[in-house]
Amino acid sequence: MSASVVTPAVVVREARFGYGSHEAARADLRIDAGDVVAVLGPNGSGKSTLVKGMLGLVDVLGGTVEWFGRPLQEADRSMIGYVPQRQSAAGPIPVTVDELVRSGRLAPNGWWRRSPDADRRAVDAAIEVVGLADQRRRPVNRLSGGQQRRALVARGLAGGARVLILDEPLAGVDAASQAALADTLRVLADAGTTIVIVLHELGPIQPLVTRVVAMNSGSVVFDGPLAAVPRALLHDDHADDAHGGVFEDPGDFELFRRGLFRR
Amino acid sequence: MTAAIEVLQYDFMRRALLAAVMIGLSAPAVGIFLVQRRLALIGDGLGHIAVSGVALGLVVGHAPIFIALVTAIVGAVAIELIRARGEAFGEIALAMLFYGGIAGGVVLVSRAPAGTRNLNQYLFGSITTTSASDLITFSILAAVILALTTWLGPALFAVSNDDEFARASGLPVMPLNITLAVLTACTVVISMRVVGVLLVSALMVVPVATAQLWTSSFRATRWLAMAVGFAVSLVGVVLSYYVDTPSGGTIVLLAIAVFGVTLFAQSASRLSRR
Repeated sequence: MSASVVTPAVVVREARFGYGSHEAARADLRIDAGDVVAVLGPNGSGKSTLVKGMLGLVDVLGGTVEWFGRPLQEADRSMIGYVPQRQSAAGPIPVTVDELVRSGRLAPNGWWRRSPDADRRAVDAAIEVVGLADQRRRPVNRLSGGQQRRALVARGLAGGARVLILDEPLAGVDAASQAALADTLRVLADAGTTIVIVLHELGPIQPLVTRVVAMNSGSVVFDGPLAAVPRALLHDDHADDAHGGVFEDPGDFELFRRGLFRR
Repeated sequence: MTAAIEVLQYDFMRRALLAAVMIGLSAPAVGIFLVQRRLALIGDGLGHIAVSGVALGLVVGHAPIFIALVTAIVGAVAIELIRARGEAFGEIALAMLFYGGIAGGVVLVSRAPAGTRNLNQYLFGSITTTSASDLITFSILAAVILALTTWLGPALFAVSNDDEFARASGLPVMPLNITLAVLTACTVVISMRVVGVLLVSALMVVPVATAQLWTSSFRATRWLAMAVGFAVSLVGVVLSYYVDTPSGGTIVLLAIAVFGVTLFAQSASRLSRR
């Protein structure tokens, strides 16, 4: 089968994303169903803006975004699960894991409708897959940081998502929790879920990644399989080369290089 | 018990108690979403804006509650639109709206016919002022508030808990936020006779704060907060009758006392378990 007949999950065509008239990221990407894409780059490189732009959470200043062949505005949102960057999944009022995950069921139902049986099954399945079945009645704010991230993943999955977009899910989480989250993502990837994950460093996610999109200064500077990341980006003695063409600040390059292969 | 039965002999007290029940249930039902959105004091701002509506009603000598309702709803929509723009000017614009509302009320009421220039009963509540026609208006508003916060509860929760996730899920975030703001405006108006527009925000927040000390879920917090709101409003009105104090202040002080005792009891219980 040629690559061209694989169903694209999302196609970003010459898109420019930003806030008001300020452009913060631009990209031209096609992500196929089943891909596990790591979006890497230093702080301020535009990687979070890129995924938010794909979801319509920031202004689309130009170009187009299509999800499963439909324009962003007409996309079936239940097919897209979003896990935003959060230090805590809880607000001032206590919320159980079950309640949090259930709030991810509004997209497939339509926000005004109820499907109690289908909701129950989907919420149970999502909580099960992230390994929080024994915590479902606990308030989210009493869980560890890693467990809270997994609860957010379950919320993203509860609608029946075929694509999961995670924004910095490993930030501020201990190594054991990172490994637990990686295990969850492995199960999802094996089941065919397309995963787009914004990261500072690959860490335990590395074995899952089928493709790397590297960002710097708001632009995609590399897009390809992990094994094909150019050598120029991987060695200190070529840092100047990389700096010349890719990274404005050698410090940014070093952070990127170290992050890419740290475990 | 005898005291409670005694107050029921008076028409004005029966009306005041019914109004208290409505505000006691409605205010926390709306307030829980505001607290979760970290907008606990927005009711306070809408109360300020409603003052202008009341004063305008007094000036024209017609339906101050209805005019206050319209003013508060227009203010609620304006606040939500200003917030949505999220610009640096937004906070200043909100301050202009809030203080302009109360200043406009004070100035307008000075032009009202002599004998009607009393804003205090609307600001802080007065149990003798609830009329039968007020009760009809309050009943309709309370029914709308309780029905909508129940029916739209899951969507309002999703938006209040995580606005960004809700937008990514395709929820109509702006219409839901405007709906919540309008429900807040309706709550402010129901409060007008018993609690007062300047104190209603306390009834949206304090019962919720009390309830969440005991609960571990959003759903349980909602029901317990409504029970606390119901109880303090009812007891507060009866108390204000016997000690001859303004009902709004009495209800709010009672609510704060319940919160304080609950907090103390919980802390003592924790210490004793160590």
